[in-house]
Amino acid sequence: MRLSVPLLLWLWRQTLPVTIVAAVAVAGLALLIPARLQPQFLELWGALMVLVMVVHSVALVAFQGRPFSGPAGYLYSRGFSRDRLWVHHWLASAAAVLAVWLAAGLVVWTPLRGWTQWALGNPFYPGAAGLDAGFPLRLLPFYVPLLAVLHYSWIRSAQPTRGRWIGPILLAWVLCLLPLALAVEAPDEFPLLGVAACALGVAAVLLVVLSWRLHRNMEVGP
Amino acid sequence: MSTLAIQTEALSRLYGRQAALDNLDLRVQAGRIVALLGPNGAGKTTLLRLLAGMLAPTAGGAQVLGDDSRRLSPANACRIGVMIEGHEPPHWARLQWLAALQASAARGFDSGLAERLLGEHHLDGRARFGRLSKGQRRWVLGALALASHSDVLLLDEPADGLDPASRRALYGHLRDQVNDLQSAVLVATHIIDDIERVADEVAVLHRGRLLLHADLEDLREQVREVDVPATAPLPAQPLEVLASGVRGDRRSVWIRGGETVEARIADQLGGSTAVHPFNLERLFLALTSDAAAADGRPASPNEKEEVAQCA
Amino acid sequence: MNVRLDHRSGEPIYRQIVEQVKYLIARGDLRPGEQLPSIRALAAELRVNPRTVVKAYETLQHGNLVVMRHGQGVFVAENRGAVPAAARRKALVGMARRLLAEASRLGAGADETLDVVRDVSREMERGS
Repeated sequence: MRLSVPLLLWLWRQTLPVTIVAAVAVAGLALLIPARLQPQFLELWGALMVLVMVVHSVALVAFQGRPFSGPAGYLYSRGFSRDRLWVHHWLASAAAVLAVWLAAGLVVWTPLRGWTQWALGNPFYPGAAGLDAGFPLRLLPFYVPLLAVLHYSWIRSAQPTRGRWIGPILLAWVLCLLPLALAVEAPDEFPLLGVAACALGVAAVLLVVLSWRLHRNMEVGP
Repeated sequence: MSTLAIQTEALSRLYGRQAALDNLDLRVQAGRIVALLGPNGAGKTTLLRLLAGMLAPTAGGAQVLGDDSRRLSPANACRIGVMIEGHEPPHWARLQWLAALQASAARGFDSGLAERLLGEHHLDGRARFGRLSKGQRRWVLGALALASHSDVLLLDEPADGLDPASRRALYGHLRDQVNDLQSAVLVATHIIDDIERVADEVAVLHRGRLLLHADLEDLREQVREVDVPATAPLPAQPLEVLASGVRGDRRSVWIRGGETVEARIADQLGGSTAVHPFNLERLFLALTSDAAAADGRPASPNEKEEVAQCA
Repeated sequence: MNVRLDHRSGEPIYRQIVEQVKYLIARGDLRPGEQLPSIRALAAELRVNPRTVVKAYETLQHGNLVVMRHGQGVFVAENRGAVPAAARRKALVGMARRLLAEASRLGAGADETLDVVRDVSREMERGS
């Protein structure tokens, strides 16, 4: 399957504004959170971070895949195979996540955060800056299940005979389980929840496969 | 042996209880231009979207290039060129970028041809789609479809909004491509003038049903309209009645009678019967009012007048 | 080749091509032995399906007006053997009947029709 740069750019461009906002928000938070960027200190700030990622993911999928609008119909009638389109949807989402990840990385791996925190009077900085380095990587486990669920719910809702409520239902399910994913960060404190988080991961993979199958038959257009 | 590029079998598509397509059997061969004639709402766009793999049938099936329309192999998906009403590029898209997108989807895309076709309307690759007039947009989409050198073309009112000279040019290019590449074309339109100029076959669609599908040259040669008293019996074999309508004490009957139709009419109905030459527009109107009457619903004035006057 | 098609007239396209080629031959614009455009070329020029051109050429060949030589092309027939007088008269009588019937439908009398026939004949002579 060949990579189609124009296709990728098309899908990515639709989500560019949202990604920019999310990148700025995450970078801003990473810059300004007064606690140290390790899980046990994040609490409210962590929830805020997760909220930004949830909104970003929803917007990503919503903008990329409006099967009920004209331009999506145009894209699906160019001669790309369904599978190729599906792969590129995911690549575009991945590229958007990468952008956010890099924005966070930019703040955390350079001295930016250290200096800012020191200037704001945070006693741990600039010393603790090195310990924060792992922070951007920890964003990823949140995105993967989110995107998996959202891609699936988007595709499912486009089936001719299924209802459109599957999306919000699945999203609510994910939001309830997200705190479990947090537990992965601190398995000593919540061991059982760690297992549940793994289950979430497995479910995410299943949803990705299901969405691929469904995408092949999805109806396009008004 | 001619290859069937498009084939439908008892194809139906329901929206709720409304049949957008009703038991459609249609065959399109390579190297032929089939015009899908019908007023808006007849199901032309639905049929094209279904053949393009964007919709699923409710009953029956459709095959394009041998594959089920819902399960097009990647090799076949890129051989189908599509231009469908309501599915247009976003407004911010630049033309050269649309061409690049098309080129990466369809392997046989001819950028030179695309450029020349756009040049015929003095369109620059850097122009944004949203800034163009309706006719220019149609021309761009038509140019992209033609430059893809597809084996099957599904076109939905490709000349909508174009001035007469541009319409001729577009259909002229289409004819050239079909002659050179043996592409199969299914073009939906309600403009009789264009159909008479470019189509090899005509398929009349009315409220989702196929009323007639015939070679246009055969129709010209074998079909006539006769004027008989309303009380006279309808013509019988070997004459075939396609449609008939009564007005006052006269009846107008559309007859198909083989290559010697006029002689056969003279035989059966008498040498002094008024025989009118084939006219596609009049036949279409007769077919649709017949069908509407059979439904129990008279044809709305819209349905009659939407078969347009040429420009 | 100077062929003009009227797509709206209801007359089959192939027949229009046949009639116009016949006319060109009769006028002398196409001489015996002269080569006609190939099927592909004429189809491209007139923007019609090649099958239509094939049908036209086949009809012309059937009427002994052209000859299709495999691998070489289509040529105006040479040396058309004269049709026997009786058959010729019969064909002409049939044509005359149709012409006068049509003319009468238009409201023209025999005299007017004959005048027009003479004028057209003179015009064709001038052309060759």
